[in-house]
Amino acid sequence: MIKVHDLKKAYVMGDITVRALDGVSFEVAPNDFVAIMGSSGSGKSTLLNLLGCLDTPSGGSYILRGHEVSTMNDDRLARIRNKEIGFVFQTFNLLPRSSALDNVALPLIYSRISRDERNKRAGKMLQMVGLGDRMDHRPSEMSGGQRQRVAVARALINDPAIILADEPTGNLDSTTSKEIMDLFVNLHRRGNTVVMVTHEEEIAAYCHRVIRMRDGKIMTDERRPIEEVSA
Amino acid sequence: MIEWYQDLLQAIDELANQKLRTLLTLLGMIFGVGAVIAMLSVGEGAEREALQIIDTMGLRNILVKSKPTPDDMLAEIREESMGLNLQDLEAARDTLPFLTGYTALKRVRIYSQFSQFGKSDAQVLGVSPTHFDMANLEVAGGRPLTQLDAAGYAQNCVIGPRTAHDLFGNRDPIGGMVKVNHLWFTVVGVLADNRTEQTEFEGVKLQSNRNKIFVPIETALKRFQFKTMEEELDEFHIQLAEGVDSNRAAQTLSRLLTTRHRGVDDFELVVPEALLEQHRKTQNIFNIVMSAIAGISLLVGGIGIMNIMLANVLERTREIGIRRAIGATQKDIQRLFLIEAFAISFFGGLLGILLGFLIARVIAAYSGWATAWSSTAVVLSVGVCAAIGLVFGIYPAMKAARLDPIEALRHD
Repeated sequence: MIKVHDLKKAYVMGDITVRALDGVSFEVAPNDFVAIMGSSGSGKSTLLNLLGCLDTPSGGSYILRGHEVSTMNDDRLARIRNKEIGFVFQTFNLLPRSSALDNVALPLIYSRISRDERNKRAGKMLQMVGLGDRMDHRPSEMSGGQRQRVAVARALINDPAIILADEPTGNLDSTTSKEIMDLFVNLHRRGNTVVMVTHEEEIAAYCHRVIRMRDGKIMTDERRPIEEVSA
Repeated sequence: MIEWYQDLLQAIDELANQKLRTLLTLLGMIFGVGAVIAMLSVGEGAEREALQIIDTMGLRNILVKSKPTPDDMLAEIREESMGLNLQDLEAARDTLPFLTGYTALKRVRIYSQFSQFGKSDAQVLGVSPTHFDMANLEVAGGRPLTQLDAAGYAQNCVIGPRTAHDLFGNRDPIGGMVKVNHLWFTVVGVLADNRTEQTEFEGVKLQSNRNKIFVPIETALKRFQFKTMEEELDEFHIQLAEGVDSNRAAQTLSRLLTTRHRGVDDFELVVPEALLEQHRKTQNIFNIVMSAIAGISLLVGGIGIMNIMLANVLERTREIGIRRAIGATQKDIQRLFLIEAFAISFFGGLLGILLGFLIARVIAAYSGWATAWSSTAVVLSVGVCAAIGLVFGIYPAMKAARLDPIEALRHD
């Protein structure tokens, strides 16, 4: 699914070059459920941005579903983001003035899909995340957990190759966090591939693979049998 | 096309969400376009009125008018020049090959005029029968004066609409009798009402035909009393053949008359075509000045749009980041904002057109200037508005499109 080899990202800040990512290599197989952990400045966010095609690497290669992504132009990256990647953010990142349905349907606009089809698919997706009765609600009329469910539904709408979550429970209380993590576990069971950035061990405990990073490098990459995963 | 339509709906939504801001931005466009439309309506109105005035003089005509001579010098002057007279007209007719028609005019001094039903203060004019055609005077009822009236020194007259009202009230004036000084005249025709109320055009005094009594000039010269040494004619008009340069014809005519009047400066020439040209020159200056003002208002409106769109981009930075993250290309983002700018300027333009016509109406009501609807103005304004929306919208839209998605997502 994902093959990353010697991926590098450097920022120039005045006279100093910051190596945010310093030669990272790993693979993500279909239906993997990966947590990327590390303190702030470890390069985990940079890695997630690169995996999410929001940024281009300074060196190395990134192959997503057989396509070399690292050399693509902006338009093709946008297309990859639209079709192959589903983002879930810590701060939900929903459009505040749009209904839940419109928020979920938004990626389909950029897939050039007709309005009727968009609404049909977004409706189904909202039902799947358990918000079938909240379709017309705006984000401000929903709880944090509900907002994150809308965001997950939006991430899933285009049936992406991989779901990238950046601290998806960071803004939620522990009860709601558990609900959201259960949702991710469910997605994983249904065959989705999930890569999640987190600094909380309890959250990482849901995943069956944990990659720990420090100073732009991978320190450890542990796999656990799925049976051990707490649920 | 679907995307444009979608984006337009989104833009309208967005604008409806920011009512006050949208309204303020719209106002800039509304006043800009309103100014343009009002200006062009006034200009168009002035143009039409000018054409109407010129029409009453006759575009192909040259008017020769006698200048008043001071009484104390009259005897002296008359030794050189007899003033404007019928022989002048005949000489012009015989020597100028490009002349296709002519009419002579003489004002009659009035001490009383009345009918069985009322009194009038109308001016009495002796004219040639050709006058009606040459001055584009339309007869609303009855008939104009004819060669037969002229040849027979007929005591028939054609009267203006106001005169008809003064003399006959609401009765049919045709066939009615009017006593002018000591003579009775039969009304054979009434003129149509021409709406021009202007009393001056490019420095030439105009006289409305509403309150006039036209009699055959032959009758006027023969039957009425004139002062001793008074010039025989007050005016004569000649009509030029098609394609003759009226300015050059006027020069030739002027030389002829100057010779005949032995250099005495007792007449003047009015060339309607030259007047029209002169009017158009003044009108052009007016148009240029007004266009500049209107252009500046539109510019200000456009800058307002740019300002608001920049604020809009800043405010929606995070939204831009979200859209980019879920697959919007730079072009998608650019189009989203461009359409919004376009929508503001377009709707502003439409409302501005309404305001412009309202202003034109108000100007017309208070100043008495003619204003006229001009479809060119409408098409022009809508086009200019759309262009302004695109021109001033493109920079903010490009700015939005070029935002770094990661930065945009981090934006609060």
